[in-house]
Amino acid sequence: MKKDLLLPRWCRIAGVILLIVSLVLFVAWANYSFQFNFLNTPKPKQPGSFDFNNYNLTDEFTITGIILSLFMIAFSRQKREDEYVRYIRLRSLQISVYVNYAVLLIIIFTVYGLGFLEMLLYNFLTILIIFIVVFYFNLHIKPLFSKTSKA
Amino acid sequence: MKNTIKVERAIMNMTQAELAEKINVSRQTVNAIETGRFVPSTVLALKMSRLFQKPVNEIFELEKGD
Repeated sequence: MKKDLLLPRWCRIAGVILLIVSLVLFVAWANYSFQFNFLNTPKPKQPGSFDFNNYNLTDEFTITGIILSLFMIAFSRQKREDEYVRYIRLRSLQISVYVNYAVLLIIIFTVYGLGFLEMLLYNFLTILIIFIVVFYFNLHIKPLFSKTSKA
Repeated sequence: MKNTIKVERAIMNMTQAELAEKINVSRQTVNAIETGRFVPSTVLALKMSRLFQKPVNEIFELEKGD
């Protein structure tokens, strides 16, 4: 069988756990300025143009955790990875790319200044989020509404 | 494309899940094929044909517009 470029099955559960942890950390960091002390980076001795006023890597690791966990949920192998699942996967990916750029166009015309950069930051997550929603909806929820699903 | 998988399944007294198990696909796939939402590959069609012991032409049929 051809390689399907997917992650092993356990990655989905690991991804869900990582996502919950990362989201809790993100909320704590965004609302209560929570930081892990061991993630401090050394400050430069001479204040210069590389002075960011942020010498802690908690937020970087949190965002990495969110991206990695969404990636693991999206691209872990299904129980039976057959041709229909592959078809749904490809279609969902296409829809998510469309939606991603539609959202991007809306942002370009509606948000300005620093808010624009912030929205761009969130926009790179939409492709993964929309993919996960569309993929799992088509695979697990849509068949429940089809006429002959009960057999 | 029309198909008679549901009838064939009933003849062999098989559920969607059992059919899926026999031809090595997921239950969702059998459901999608039966309801006409998905056209199976030739390999899958031939597997069903072998299982039902009927030619592919008798299980799948072209419709107007195909």
